[in-house]
Amino acid sequence: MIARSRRDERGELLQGTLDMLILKTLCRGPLHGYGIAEFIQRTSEDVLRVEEGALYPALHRLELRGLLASGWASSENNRRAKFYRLTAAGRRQLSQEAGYWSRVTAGIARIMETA
Amino acid sequence: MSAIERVRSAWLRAKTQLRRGRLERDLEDELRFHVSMREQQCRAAGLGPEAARQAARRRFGNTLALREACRDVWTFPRLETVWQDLRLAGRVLWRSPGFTAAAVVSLALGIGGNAATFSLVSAILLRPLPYPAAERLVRLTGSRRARTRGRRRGSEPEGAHDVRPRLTPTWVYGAFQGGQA
Repeated sequence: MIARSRRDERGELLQGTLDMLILKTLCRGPLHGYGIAEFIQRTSEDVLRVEEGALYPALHRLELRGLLASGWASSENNRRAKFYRLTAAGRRQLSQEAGYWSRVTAGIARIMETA
Repeated sequence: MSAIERVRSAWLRAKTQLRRGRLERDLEDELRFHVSMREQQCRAAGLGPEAARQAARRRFGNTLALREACRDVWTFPRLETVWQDLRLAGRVLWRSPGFTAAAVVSLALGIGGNAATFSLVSAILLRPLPYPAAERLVRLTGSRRARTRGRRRGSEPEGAHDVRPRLTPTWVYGAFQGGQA
């Protein structure tokens, strides 16, 4: 769904991983969609290039599930923008997913490290 | 999704129905903000105005499809599709009354005929015979010779009489033909 770049070089995100990345990004404070996309790309050093529009359906789904809350506010360049912030339920979901994620990646790493 | 989450999101969606205009406006504003921010960034990186606009749009993806995907989150897309289909069907039927009448009549005849046949079959074949413990009924049939010898309609097959003395007292004995005891 996202990260439709050259598949062999860049990581292709599994569905659901994007949700986790959004939650993680927002635990640093409220941000608008553009800011989230920028943060994910910059922090992953362009490995995860989100197809930017795909972010929005994910954001809205998370908001509907009560994991995010949103409100309109002025952006850094004084334009009206929709900011998202993490709710308590979102924080819980994030810690759950982060735990699952580290278990899975550790398991994969163990297999890949065998000779 | 838990049951509580389901109820909660259904409630939120229902509430959104009352403010469809605002949902559309907000979506439009939100997506437009993103594209114009990207456009600015491209310009700052040295692209010309037209090139920046195109690059921003390309990176964003299909705005129309994305707006629809966001809208679907807040509405009942399946319900709406069904409703649209029903309305289309209604219009098409209304426009060709001859076809509609033929369809209605054949449906009515089909359903009526089936219902009549079933009620007959149910009354004759499916209803249990009027004996206690009808599920324990055993049907006895005589051999061909016994059946052909002097048998009248409604009377027992002749061989049946021979069985009667050998049945234990708890067995109840009767004769039936067709669906009647």
